[in-house]
This record gives sequence, C-alpha cells and structure tokens, in this order.
Amino acid sequence: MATLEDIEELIGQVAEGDRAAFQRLYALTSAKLFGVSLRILRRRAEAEEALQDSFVKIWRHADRYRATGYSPMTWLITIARNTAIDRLRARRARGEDLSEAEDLASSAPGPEAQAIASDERARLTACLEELEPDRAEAVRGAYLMGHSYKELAEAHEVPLNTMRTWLRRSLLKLKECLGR
Amino acid sequence: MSDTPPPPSDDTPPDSDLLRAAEYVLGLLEPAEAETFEARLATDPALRALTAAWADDLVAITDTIPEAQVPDHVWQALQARLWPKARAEGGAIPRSWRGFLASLGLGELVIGTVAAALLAFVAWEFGWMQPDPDLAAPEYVAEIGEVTGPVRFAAGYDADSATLALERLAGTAAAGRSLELWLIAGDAAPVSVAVWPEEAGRQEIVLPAGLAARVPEAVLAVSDEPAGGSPTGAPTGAVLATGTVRAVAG
Repeated sequence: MATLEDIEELIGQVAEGDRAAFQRLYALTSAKLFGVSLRILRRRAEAEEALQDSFVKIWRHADRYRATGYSPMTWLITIARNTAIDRLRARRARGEDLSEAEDLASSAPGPEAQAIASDERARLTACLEELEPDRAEAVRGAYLMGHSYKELAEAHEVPLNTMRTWLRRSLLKLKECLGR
Repeated sequence: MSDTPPPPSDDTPPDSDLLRAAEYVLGLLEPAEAETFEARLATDPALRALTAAWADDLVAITDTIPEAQVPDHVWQALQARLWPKARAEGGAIPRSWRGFLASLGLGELVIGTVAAALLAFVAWEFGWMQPDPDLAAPEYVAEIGEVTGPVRFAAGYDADSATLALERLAGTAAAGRSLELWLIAGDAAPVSVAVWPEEAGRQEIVLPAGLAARVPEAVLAVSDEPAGGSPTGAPTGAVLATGTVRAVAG
C-alpha cells in the first residue's frame, strides 16, 4: 500500500522527468482520478479524455507541486477535478444541458461502502451537516458540478446576491467548524 | 453585497482572503479575478497556505467517490501523447511467433491484457525508447525453467530490434516477494532484465546495446527477490529457474 510520502516522492521524481515514476504514479492513482472524472462528467469517453488531460498536466507541472503546499493526493485530485469541471462547463456553454439534467438526478453520493476511510471526510461531512441542507448542497454543487454563483442561484431559485451571501457565509461557517 | 465582485474592503480583511481562497478552489471566481488571485498566490505564502488548506478541506468531498477501473487504452493513448516516439506495443503476440513457440512445445501462451499496458515499463526503467520490434521470427529463444518446474518462462529475442520478449508460462512470486529476471553473460555479473509485474503475462524489453550483444549464449535466470526487486542490483534470493539462450536453427 502506497503512503502519501510515496506519492509525494513519485511526484518529485516525475518533476525530474522520470517516466517509470510517472507510470507508477499512474498505476497508484489513476483509478481514483478516473472515479472523480466519471462522477463529474458522467460520460465514459469524455471522462477518459479528461483523465488523459489530467495526467498530461501532472507530467508537465509536477515541478509546481511543491510550491502549492497541497497534500499530494489533494494536488492530483484537484487537477482531475478542475480538468473535468472545465469540460463540463464547456459542455454547458455549448448548450448541452439536456443530458445533464438527467445526470443531475443521479448525482447522489456514491456507495459509502467503497469510500476511503478518512478523518477529513468525516470532519467535512459533519461540518457540512451543520449547514442548512440546501446550502451544503450548494457547496457540493460548486465542487462537483462546477456551478457558478449564477447557476447556483438559478438552481436554488434565489437572487444572485442572495446566493453569493449564502455561500460565503456557509464557507465561513464551514471553516469555523473545521477549525474546531 | 453588489452584483459585481466586491472590493476587498467589503469584507473584514481576514475573511476576505479566506473567502477568496475558497472561491478560487471552488472555481467561483470570474476568469479575471482568478488571474489576479493567482498572481497574488505567486508572491504571498500566507495566501498560498489558506488556499492549500481549503483545497485539502474540500477535496474530502471526493472521498465517497469510488475508484473506477481505467481501460488500458487510456494509458496507451497517454504515452502516445507524451512521448510520441515511445511506441507502446499493445495487442497480442504476433500469430506467427505464437505458432512458432507452440511448435517448440512451449505450450499455451498466456496473453494477458494487463501485460499490454505494462509493455513499455521495463524499457523506461532502463531509459530507452522502444523501437519497432519484429518478433515474428525470433533469432534466439530460451526456455527458462524445467518443463515440469514451478517457475517457467519462455524468451524470444530479436537481434535487429534488440527486443527480448518474455512470457510467463508458470509460477508466481511468493506473497510479498517479486520474481526478477537476470541475464548472465559468461563470467559477468548478472544484469537485471526485469522485475516481473505479478499481473503481467508477457513483457517486451528493449535491451541496451551493451547487453544486447551478450544475449547469444547468455543464461537467463529467475530469482526470488523482495517486493519490487533486488535492493542491491544483484540477485539476493533463491534462483528458481534458468535457461540458456540458443540460436534458432535455420
């Protein structure tokens, strides 16, 4: 079982152009990153392309990892998440919303049984639960669907400024809770 | 709050940066705002720390997302994109070669799909690109291990492409151990050829020039090593199988 230190070391080696390290990093992390891409994009072919794009970025930008201060899995998952979100937004911008409406219905959290045990998750879940349900949903929607303030406002049928205020207050509450 | 993004004075200073960082991580900033934020990130360690903390906090949203098996072709395509010259040889063993090995009495060959994804791996370890191997008719072969032995490999070597194709016919590494293949030329010290990936049925390895010249009449050996291969660069565990490389007649 690879530790976070192993992953960090591999990212360091990838930054030096080490292809074998890159392959190991891919072997260790691609299933998780693919899971995230699939959850966000919900289309296999597109999720596969997004995963490729993500690993191209990882290969090219591994040297920037250290400066971010992210933990290694956070850095990798964030790249996969952002890459998938960019595609999802492009899809929405092209007006391909209809299929996504279907997709939205199936956006419930995945099987808990398969979830990685994580203190952070437990903490975050507990803190999200302290928020009103629709506000917690807005935070999740921004993260997993890449919704903008405008889209969140429409989805929750509140004025844009209200949504902005909601979400900001929710984020501050969340931070306060996570810091306890 | 106004419809346009508020200037920092709209919030108390610590909340302002705290929120900006969260909005950046969530992708809620407008492109121009995000650019400004990134410019600040480059020079402001405190802001970087805030941002990293949010990224770590919010990534926990993905913890409930199950892993998903990635099809092999994604890795192949990724390699082709990153290193166009490094050919990833997918696919099965050339039919003619398969028939050839069968005719030598080497039995059924395991053609693993997982192996295809791993083919270029060993070549990378040595740092060489994969040329275009033509293994339809290997000039040299070796049967590694006794016919009834617990560990058996078949090898075919194409001198033109310096490609050594290895096929596992029988045997697995012990729990927590790895099988490692070695090339022993004359009195020279054994040279590691591959740490066998436990899930692989077959691998192709492009040998460096120095090693390639020594393949004819060399001995190929399989040893039991710690997981991931010998830590010393020389065999440390029991030798489980050996075989001498011989030229194919005709």
